[in-house]
Amino acid sequence: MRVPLLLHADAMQLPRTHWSEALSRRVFLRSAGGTLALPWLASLPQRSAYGKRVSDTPGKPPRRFACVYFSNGVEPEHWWAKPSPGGMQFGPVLQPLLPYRDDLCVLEGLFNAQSVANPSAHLGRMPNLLSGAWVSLDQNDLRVGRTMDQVLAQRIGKHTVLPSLVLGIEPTELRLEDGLSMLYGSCISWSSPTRPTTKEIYPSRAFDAIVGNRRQAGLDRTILDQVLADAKSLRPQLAVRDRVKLDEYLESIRDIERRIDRAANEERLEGWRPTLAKADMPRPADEIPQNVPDHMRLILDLIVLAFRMDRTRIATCMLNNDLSQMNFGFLEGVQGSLHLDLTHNGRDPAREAMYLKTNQFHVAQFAYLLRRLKEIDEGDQTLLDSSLLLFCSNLFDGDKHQADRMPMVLAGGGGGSVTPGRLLDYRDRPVKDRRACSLYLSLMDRMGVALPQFGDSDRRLADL
Amino acid sequence: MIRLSSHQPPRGATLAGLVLLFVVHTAVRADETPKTPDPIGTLLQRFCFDCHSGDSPEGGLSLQTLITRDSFARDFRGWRKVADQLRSRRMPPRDAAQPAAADRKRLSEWVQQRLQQEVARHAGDPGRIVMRRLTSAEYDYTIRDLTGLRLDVHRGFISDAVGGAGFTNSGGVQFIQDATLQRYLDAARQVADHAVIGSGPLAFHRDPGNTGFELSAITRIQSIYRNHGFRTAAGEGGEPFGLERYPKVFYAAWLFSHRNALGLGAADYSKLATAEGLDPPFLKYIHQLLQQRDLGFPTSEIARVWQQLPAPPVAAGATAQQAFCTQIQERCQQLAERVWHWQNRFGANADAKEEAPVLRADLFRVTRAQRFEMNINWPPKTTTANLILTVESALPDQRPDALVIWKNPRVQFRVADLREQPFHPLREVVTADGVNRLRFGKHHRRGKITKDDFTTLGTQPVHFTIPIPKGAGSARLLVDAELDVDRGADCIIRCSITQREETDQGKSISALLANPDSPAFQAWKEGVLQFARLLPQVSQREAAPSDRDPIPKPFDGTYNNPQRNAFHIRIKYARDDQFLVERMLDAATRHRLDRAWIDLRTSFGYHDAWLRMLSEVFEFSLGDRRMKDLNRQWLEQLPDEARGYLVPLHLEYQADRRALQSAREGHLKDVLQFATRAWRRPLTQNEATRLRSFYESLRTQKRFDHTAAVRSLLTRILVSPAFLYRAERVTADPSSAPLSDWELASRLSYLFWSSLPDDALREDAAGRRLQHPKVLVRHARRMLKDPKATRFATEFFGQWFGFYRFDQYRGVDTSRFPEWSETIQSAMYQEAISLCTHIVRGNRPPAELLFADYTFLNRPLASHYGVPFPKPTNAGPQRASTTLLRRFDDMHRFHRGGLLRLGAVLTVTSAPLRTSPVRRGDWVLRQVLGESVPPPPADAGSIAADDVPVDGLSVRQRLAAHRRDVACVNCHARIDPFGFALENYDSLGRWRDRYRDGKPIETAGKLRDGTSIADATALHSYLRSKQSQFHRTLAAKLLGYALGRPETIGDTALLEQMVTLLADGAGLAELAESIVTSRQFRYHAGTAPASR
Repeated sequence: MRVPLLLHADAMQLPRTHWSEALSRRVFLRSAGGTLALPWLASLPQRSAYGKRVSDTPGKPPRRFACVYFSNGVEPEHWWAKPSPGGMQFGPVLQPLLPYRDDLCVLEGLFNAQSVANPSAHLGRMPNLLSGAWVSLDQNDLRVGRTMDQVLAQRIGKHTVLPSLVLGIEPTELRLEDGLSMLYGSCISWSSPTRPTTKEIYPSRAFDAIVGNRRQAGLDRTILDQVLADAKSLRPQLAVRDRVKLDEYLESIRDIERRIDRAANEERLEGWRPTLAKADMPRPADEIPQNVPDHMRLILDLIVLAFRMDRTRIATCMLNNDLSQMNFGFLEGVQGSLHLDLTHNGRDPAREAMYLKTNQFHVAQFAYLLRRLKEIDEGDQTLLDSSLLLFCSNLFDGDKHQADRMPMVLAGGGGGSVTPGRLLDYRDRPVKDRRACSLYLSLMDRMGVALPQFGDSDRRLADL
Repeated sequence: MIRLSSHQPPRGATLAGLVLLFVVHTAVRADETPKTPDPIGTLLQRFCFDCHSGDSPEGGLSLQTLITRDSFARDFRGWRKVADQLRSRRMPPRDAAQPAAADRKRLSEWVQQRLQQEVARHAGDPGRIVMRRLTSAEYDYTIRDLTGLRLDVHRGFISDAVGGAGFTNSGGVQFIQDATLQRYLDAARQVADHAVIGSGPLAFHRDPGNTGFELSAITRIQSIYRNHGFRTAAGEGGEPFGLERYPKVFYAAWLFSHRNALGLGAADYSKLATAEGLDPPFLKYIHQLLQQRDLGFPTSEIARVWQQLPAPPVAAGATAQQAFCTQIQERCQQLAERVWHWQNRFGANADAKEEAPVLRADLFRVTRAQRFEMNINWPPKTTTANLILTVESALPDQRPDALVIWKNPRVQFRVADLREQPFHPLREVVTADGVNRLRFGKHHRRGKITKDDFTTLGTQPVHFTIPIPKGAGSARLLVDAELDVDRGADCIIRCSITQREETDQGKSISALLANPDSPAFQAWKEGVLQFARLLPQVSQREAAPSDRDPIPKPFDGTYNNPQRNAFHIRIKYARDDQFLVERMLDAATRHRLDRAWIDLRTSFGYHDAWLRMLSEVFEFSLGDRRMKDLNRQWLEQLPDEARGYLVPLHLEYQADRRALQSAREGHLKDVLQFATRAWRRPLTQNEATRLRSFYESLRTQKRFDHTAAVRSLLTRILVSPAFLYRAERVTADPSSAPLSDWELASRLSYLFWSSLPDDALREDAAGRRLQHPKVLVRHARRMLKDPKATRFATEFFGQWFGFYRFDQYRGVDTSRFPEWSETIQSAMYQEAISLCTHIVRGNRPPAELLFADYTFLNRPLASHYGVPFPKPTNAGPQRASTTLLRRFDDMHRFHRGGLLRLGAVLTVTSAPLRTSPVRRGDWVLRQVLGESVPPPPADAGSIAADDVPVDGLSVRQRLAAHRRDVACVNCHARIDPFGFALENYDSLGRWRDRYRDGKPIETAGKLRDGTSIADATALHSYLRSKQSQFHRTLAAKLLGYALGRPETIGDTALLEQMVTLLADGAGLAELAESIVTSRQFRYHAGTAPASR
């Protein structure tokens, strides 16, 4: 059995609470009202334990992070970017991104060491994309590592209604492939080393989660009416001193009911307000769209919607599962399924051409997301300017399962924390400077979560 | 300036002992409380009021207020101090006027006497316990026990505050506001989203929503398959399971046949099967099958061998009989291996390597001629590929005289650049030796073959070698084998080519050859198919077909074929478990399996996906029709073949819908049962009616479907005050009254498990047996031994000693200490919990908490502490040693063991950059010795945050300077020596000999009473001498935790009793007994004005 180079720290799952809340002034004062405060409450570090904290500026739009994943790599000869005086030049695969070349960085040569070391060519190199962790090859012990998007969700997700959005197109598959569960190939977001975050592929359900279901508010009221009645019938049976406690409960219910009633004109206290208060798209139909491009577009629209309404600031989207059986017949002149027919094309020129088209199709989806975000003005900058959008696959040459150079594009300005329009080529750098986890550390920094180390890296990505 | 009393707090045990001395004097009846005699008031005024009166009395104690209020019950803490100061002559201060000896005695006796009167009068008073809400930990545990899931929905809650005796479970500090309630609502909705509402009873699954429903169904199916069935392989990389069932069932069948001779008497199928871990129907089936007479070959062979198993020897001794049975077991093992072997031989046809061998008539294709297409691979640097060609008979005990013609054998080498390479005749690429052995061009009989062909006769294996040309990466061998028409018409043979080199793939390829028209073959085939039916090697297929499993007809199952891919994505599941269902499962399990399948099919558009795919295969027009729109008329106009698939599918669809429909009433009952558990008491008739009508109104008025309505009902139950609050109903008795059985059950379960009562408690509550102290004691003992008592260790000891939620602690500066990691933090947290859990569940003497010479470590923590960690003795999984903790004894050698040496405790009592002797000393004083320390005055100043001397002064020197300040010395003289004794532990709990700047650690200190404490060992010895004080602290903390309120004067006797028990060596179980049987625990204060 191979031994992971670096074990993920949170192998033990223990209940977590929001420590920061435990330390809020109000709670602290309340505790002081009791006889004792927990002994370490006074021992708060005056500054962040991990050095300088980069966080959102009040009054400015918050930073958003999204990762759009496509499976099975790219046609290696056709994925390239070159710096040139008038802006980067792109190879055929990246062509759809040409209009946005000044809004993005092409990252070359980053990789996860644990993927390269893993003998399982697909599933051993996929679910760890965003964690850099070792993928357990033991069928009875599905185990990878918490991914950076879920680290963000757990640390800063409480600022929004949804800690994160985890979206996809193809359903989670349960069959075995190469002796491993296809659960691995179906999930890029893991909330713990042993637990993938449930991926939503139904646009309607994602919409309800983002916008809220109108029925939900009505239902809340009904439920509150019911428990209000419970409380009222309990009240006479209580001692006087306990009635005081119950009255707090009753008052809380009334407060929520009042809030529901005036939900329409809800106001925020913060300086910045989302540019959208209500959804600007209709609720999608209950079924999954039959046609893949429609499905992808809808899912990407939902990311835009969630960001605009500030319902979440963290999203991941799998355009397809690893080993995808997605049939690309919807593209002109393309036949067959992505994985065996097109990725492993046996160097047949006709099928190579089709594979290139699927690559370009994936890139075009990302370009669409950039277009949408760039159209949205959030004051003196666009939504794209305040976002960090990672577009990537876990393999470079899909045919050869090449994991030592992941195709990656980082778009957006990250609220002024990234200078886009550059090619960042790490291929000639020493291995320690090429770790994808360094990129994740740098991205998490910019999202306001500074960790001393993550996955196989304890250094930030140079030059970002 | 001289400070007074509160800087010299009473030591609990001493004081209590003092109080006891005076019990004899307290003959005064409660209602005859004498008025304060003037002389007392005068004395107090004269000697005490100077300092202890007014707005800011010395030590926060105003004797003027105390004497005016005249309530010894309420002010018992203040009066105790007074008594203590008078007795020890610490007050009035030496430089003040002193009372005459007689006056001092009178005053002292009066205070003692009044205190005693109140102790006696209030003994056992329940006290004011404010209604408690579930703490966020209790909420989590309760949800865990209700649903069986760790959902962590409490994460969004606002953190608990601490009150009462220092715990979060005190009602007085539990506030609720709309944001809190909103989170309860969200959490309840999340829990409800995990409900599985299908064709079976209400259950919960770890994944929420519709996806969770689907996953719950597949999980249930897979677990039934795994626990009851067997499968040799499941596609590429699939894992076999249940293969031990055949040897066991053959053996059990033998036992059954000879049950009388073996003295098993009345043993029936059920008993024998259960003993062997088998399903009774399976044993019955196999036993009857093996007796059958008219079986065809090869089943007949299996039955024959089994029947020939010898009977047990008559009148053998137990040992001899045992040995004999072991022999039979071995023979049954061999017999089962024969079953597997034959199955493989018959089943594995050319290119079916990765399929689980399931023989079905439609998959059973045997021809006279077969093309072999074999990949030959070799490890790097290999120069030759060695192959073996074999011809064997598929009929045992027969040596066929079969002649096989091998036509046009040819080899293609592949090179790295993938250019297409030509085929060479095998004759040209084998070694000269190989040419001779294969006899190219020479027919074994008189027939004609080309110079590149060869023939084989009989069952001789032929070895041949192919030299590997330079640059070739792999090769492909193609050959057409054909059984001769004349020689071998009645043979059934297996031809195979095997490569001797170990390679990743394509090691062997084989095929069965026979003349399909021959009567011999027909008889053989029939027998083989019967064998496959009766003794299959796979009792069911995977519910989600793996990559190499066949998918059902009419779809094309060729690997990576679009139809196959579409099936995996759209239909996803296939049921093929007839043998398991018919021959193995008992009725109840079958019923569960059927329900799981119904749930799986109805969890998504399974039937609609079938419908759509069938319409694509048979090209019939579907329009917008979905399964629900189909009717008989429409089905009848379909082409026959399509209808053949659709009609049963439609029937299944309708049956599934009906099953869901009829489960609904059951769900409602389950929800009401859920409410009685969640609300921790039976529902009233009215409540049950209201819950039902809420469901009805959602269905009718809001037009919710059943699932949504049930989820809403669950949500509503979990936001009710009956769930969130531990309400104890007030009774008619104005002073106090016994709690109801249900209220007692909750008190017990929240005390020991931080959660709702389990079934055993509920049963005794329903039977009204909890009013008996004996029953309470039995439960307390049981609960403390239960694994759930870990929660008590976490909640009670964690909060008391300050390691509560240490896993979330963020007080370490990681830029200074980069070695600090979540792994170490988590291990330290577990170390602390493990120590306390060990004391609790093992009922160890509580002093062991302080003095244990063992601790609990895993590898990272051991290495952090510098404790050698033994190498793993067996090659277990790597992570076991990195996360799981195990006990290490004799740890004093490594300066570990006990509370004071716990990493978690030493870390939380440090500052981010350095140790804090003050904080550690304060911890010892408060938490271990139970003494109170006033907070530092506002102008106390502070000590540098780092241990690098800023102005040439170390922390110790600064503290020494601080102590020279008379305002500070009172407290710091009590605190600092304890803290300095622990200076050898750095701020991450590691042992050290020097500070970072290389200066040696100084640990010695002197308490104000003159006791020297040299170091940590001396501190432990000192604490041993103060053990009774620790016991007093434990008793008070435990009672406070149990009742959720601070100590009252009425608790004095109970606490004394507990301290006495501890002195006699009692464990937590005995302490718990005295608490749960106490009046405080079993009674509830009434509505009357506070009795204290």
